[in-house]
Amino acid sequence: MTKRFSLILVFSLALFACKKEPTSWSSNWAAPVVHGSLSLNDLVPSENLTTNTDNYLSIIYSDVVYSFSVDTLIDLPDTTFTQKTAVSLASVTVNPDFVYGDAYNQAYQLDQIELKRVIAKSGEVEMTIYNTWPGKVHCTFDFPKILDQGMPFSRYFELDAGSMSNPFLASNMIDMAGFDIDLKGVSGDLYNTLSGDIIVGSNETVNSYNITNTDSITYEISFKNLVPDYAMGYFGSYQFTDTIGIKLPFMDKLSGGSIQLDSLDLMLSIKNGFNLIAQSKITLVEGINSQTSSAVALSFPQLNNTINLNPASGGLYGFTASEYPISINNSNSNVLPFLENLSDSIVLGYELNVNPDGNTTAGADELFPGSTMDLYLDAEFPISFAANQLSLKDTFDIDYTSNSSITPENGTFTLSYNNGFPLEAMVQLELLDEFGNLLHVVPADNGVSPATYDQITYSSTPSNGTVIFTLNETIVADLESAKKIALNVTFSTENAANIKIQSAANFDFTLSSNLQIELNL
Amino acid sequence: MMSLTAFAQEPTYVFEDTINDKNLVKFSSYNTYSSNRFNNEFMDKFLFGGAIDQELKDNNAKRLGRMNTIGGEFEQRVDSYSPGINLFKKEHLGLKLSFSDNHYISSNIPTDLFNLAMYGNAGYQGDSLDLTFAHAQYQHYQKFSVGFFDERNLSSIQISYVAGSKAAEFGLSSSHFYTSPDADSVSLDLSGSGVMTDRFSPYWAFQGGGFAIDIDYNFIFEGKVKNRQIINFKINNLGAVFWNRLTNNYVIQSNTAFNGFDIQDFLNDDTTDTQIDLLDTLGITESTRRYVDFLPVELVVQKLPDNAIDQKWQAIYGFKTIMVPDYFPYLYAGAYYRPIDEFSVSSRLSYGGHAGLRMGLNFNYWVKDKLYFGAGTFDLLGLVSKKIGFGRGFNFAMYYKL
Repeated sequence: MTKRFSLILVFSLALFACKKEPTSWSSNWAAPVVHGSLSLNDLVPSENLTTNTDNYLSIIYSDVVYSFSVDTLIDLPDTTFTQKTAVSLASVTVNPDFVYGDAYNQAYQLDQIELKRVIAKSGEVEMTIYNTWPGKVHCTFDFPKILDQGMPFSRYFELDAGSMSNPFLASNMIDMAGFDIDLKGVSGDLYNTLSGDIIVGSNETVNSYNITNTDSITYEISFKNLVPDYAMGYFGSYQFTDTIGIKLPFMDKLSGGSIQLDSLDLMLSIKNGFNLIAQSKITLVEGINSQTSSAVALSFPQLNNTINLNPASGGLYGFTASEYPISINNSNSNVLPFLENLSDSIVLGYELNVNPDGNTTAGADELFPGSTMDLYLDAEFPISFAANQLSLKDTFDIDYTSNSSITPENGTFTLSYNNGFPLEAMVQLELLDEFGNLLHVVPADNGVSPATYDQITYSSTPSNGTVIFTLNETIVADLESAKKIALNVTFSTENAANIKIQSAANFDFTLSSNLQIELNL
Repeated sequence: MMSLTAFAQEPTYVFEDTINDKNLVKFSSYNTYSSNRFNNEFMDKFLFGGAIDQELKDNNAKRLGRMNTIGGEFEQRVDSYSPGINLFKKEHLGLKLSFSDNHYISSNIPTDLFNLAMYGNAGYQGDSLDLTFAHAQYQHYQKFSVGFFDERNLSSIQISYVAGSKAAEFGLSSSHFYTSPDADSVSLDLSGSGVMTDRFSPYWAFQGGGFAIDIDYNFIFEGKVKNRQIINFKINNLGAVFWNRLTNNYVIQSNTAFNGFDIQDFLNDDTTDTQIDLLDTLGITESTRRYVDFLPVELVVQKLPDNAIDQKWQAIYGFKTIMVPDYFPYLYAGAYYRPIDEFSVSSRLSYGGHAGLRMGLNFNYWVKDKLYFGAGTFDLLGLVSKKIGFGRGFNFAMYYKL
């Protein structure tokens, strides 16, 4: 009886024992992932798109390609002036009402630059005074030729008693932004010269003390980080020669194929925002495609010719830059092959001569607030082209971490589309590891078919279809190892013929998934 | 001899003669779970783990119908009978004290919900899956009972303090899940509510209190002794539990469609719409407050075998219902055979409850009018077969006269 009871009890306990392994089963789930409509407005800002007179789209571009500003022309170095002031007599009694004056006249060392006036955009001046007199003093610095918001700049210091071996120190850092500095000196016919007055007096109320001609008060004036906002004078004669590289990062995504453009109109302008005489020369414009290692140099009429740049007009409160336009089109240049090279970087060589004939304006060169010298591009790129296997590649980071409850086994992603662009596309996905090494190619069953194109009206009748990407067990098993996904899209126009894209062209799509997953409870 | 008092949930019940003067303590254990659609092979995967393959899914899916229920009752009980303590100055009314620990599970899984969970939605694109009347309920409570029993016909009435340990209940009314034919949109229309106590541990969590009344009455139809018929009438768990203020209450009311993320959000680097708040999306409103929950009221009417008559073979039959939405009326009929005074066996066929057709077998053994053992199952097939068994059950009882 007891044994029978024990068996029943053990059986009951076993029946309701804890689970030894998870409950698992596979199921198939379909869900939408992403949907939307893409047009050229999603690739190019709307302000850069326009419908041209032939009723198809053009990309317009108006912006500075290259620029240099004032700090290339004028560099005001950090400078410290140190001066001592002392009485001329062997011995003087300093009474409480004692006052002594001195003048300050110091020239800035600026090589060939001869500045008459500077309005500081930023910078600091540090004034430090060392008192060796055996009594209290006060010290006033007046700079009538430095205006701070229209008022002459001055500073007042009070110092305690010091000694030759242990002078008393007072210091002040002043922000010079907005300071209007007249550098013509006291006489008004100098340049690079800063002038002012120093008044030293006793700051004692009762006591007197004695000083000699060896008891000096030393003051240091340090100009730091000065950047001019406006300057007038002679800026010197310079020749700049440089070759610079301009990276076009968005072109990195083009990984292959070719494109044939129809026509192009560019206006390359050199804009001079300084009131000075200059000459410029464009020596090189070369496009480099690092994928194909091909380079195409742009040739146009003004290449390697000296261009005289007029000074800008206007004044401190407003100026108009002078412009020298250079027209580049199909007829006078090789701009089409230059662009069809699909360069991902441009090499620009130039020469710039400032004041090539020296100081011919009697020191009337000016730089204005915001003055720059720019290479300005104004272009219209009609979207009329033929593409043959033009490949775009973009890489995205992914970070997939498996979940113990839900394990993907295999599946498909289906792209259902309505393509309004007269371009066919082959799409390929690649899974890459953290080092960019290829792990798997996710195959597609076919490509995106092009819209039907009318060569006369340039309109397109959209095409519908689906593209299915298959993720088999092997690919899914490696998803955790994949750290990047590369999207390769290869475009071609039908028979590599020329097409023109209208503003109504859209690519409508829905990406949905059908995944077989294993649930583990 | 003292009779066995019926189990609160289900009788392994033999009516014995009424004359007695001894105290009696009885222990009983009633445990059963069953389903009217899902066989043991399938349910065991959830109980003990394992992989559910396509064949197992398909075999169970073929059986599904309008109601697909899984339920279970588990009661461990001790009763004490004291005939010497008379209530209301009536010599025939003795004191009955009881303690029981009860678990109750009841659920209905609509066919479309099973298919969605087991197969996914990919095979149902273009179809609207009906999730209406999905329901699941669990209660765990203890009863501390006091009452009296009639020594003449062994009827009893008890009132209980119910200590609520833990509970959860969720149900859906009109609810649907739809996947478009091209899987470019999925929509979920949910309407329902749910309740869950704050904690599910420890075992005796004591998160509520309530009361219950149990009535157990035996009608004795007298003829000649050997033709005496005993009809038992029982109402159990007439009461409620008042769960505490930390009980979580949920209301689900949502009509949500998902069409995928918009590519423009990614192009604009706008992650506002790419982050989903699940509770908000599903329209689930959560609040914390007290909740009143009725116990699973049980009604039983049955003919009992009578040990006081000479008949070796006796018919047994009965009806039971539990007032929950997933419980079908339970009917049984069978035979009771007592070849010798100390031993008897009964067998029954039953249909209903949370299950379909089942077969039961029970054994009783008496030792010198002092000791009793009973054991059996109402689901013999379930104990021996995974494929044709749709649940399992085991009952045990013993009493000792002091």
